[in-house]
Amino acid sequence: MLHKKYFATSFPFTCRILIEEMKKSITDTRLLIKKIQGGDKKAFQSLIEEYQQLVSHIVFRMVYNKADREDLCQEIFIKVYQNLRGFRFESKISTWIAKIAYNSCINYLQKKKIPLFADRVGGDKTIEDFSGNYILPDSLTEEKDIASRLQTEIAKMDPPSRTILTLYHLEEMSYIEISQIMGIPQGTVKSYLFRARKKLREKLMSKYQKEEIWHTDI
Amino acid sequence: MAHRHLTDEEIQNILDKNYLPENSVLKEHLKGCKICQNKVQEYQTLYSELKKDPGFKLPRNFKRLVISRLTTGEINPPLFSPKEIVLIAIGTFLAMGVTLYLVDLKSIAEIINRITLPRTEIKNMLLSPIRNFIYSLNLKLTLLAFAGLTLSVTAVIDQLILKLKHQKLSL
Repeated sequence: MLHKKYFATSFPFTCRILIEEMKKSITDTRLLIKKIQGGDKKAFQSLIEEYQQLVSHIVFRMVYNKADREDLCQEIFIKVYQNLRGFRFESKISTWIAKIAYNSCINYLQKKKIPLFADRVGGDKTIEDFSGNYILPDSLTEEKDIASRLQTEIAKMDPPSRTILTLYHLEEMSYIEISQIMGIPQGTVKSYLFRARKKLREKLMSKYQKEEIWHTDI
Repeated sequence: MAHRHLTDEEIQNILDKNYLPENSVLKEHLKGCKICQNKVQEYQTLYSELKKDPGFKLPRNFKRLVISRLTTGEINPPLFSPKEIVLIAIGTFLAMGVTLYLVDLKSIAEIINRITLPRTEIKNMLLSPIRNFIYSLNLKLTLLAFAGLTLSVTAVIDQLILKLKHQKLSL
């Protein structure tokens, strides 16, 4: 009873605080963007700081060539800077930046002739053959625990599936946001995500002893 | 207890929404089925692992590296260069010229002549010079020149369309 009463009084208050926080955050972002649009490079540094993790996560999942990753991240932020004047606040800035990052990665993969989808790989090759030149950072090859095993399995998937997994689980984006970023319908995002998770579970289950992975490492 | 096990999709839906409807058939089944409980546990582990940062970090001086690559005035470069603006102007001018050449100029002059305005002075002041100018035009373009002009206009339009497409793709 006490809980209910407490909830009834504190919940609207908490909501109000959250709404206020959200409003403040939106206004801050708008101000920041206006400053950058006016040529303020310090403001742009703040924007880089805020979104470099998002960009690095997308690049990390899409591109496995270590040498090219950092350059690509830099190019993405330069594109963001050059095109920020065209940003009309029709979507969240994070979605807009992620879209630029995703498209830049796609262009990179196309230039390197790395297939995007497993079904478009020609001949006897698999998607792993293409990523094999790049994948598996040193820390992952040892496959000591479930985390590194999982990273190895994710690395074998096609780039769009890897990106969807990252955007949904790591960046906590919604289906709508992911569909805007990748330019595909929400239903396709959902089916990619479900298929990827099912495949990951099955792969890990079939490759390793059930007890070893799922129960000892938790 | 329900007769069938939960599908992968049903388990993922439950975990995505972090919600299991009260008194549902699924809940009843989950309570008594070890196979489904294990499967849910496996998915839960997968979900928590997927939330972990893969560990790719950009260098500390990343911000400075990006800023150093930006040069003043690099923000939002103009859509068309001055050279392209001149080309657009020439292309438009030529296209208009060709159109005027192909249609019967005299008929245009006649149409202008027939326009009725309330006051003759206004008509004389505004329309007569245009009509006289059109009558005075004596274009004698050869077929070759016409082909050249058409090609120039097409080339300019092609270049512009390609440029716009490229900009949209690279974004």
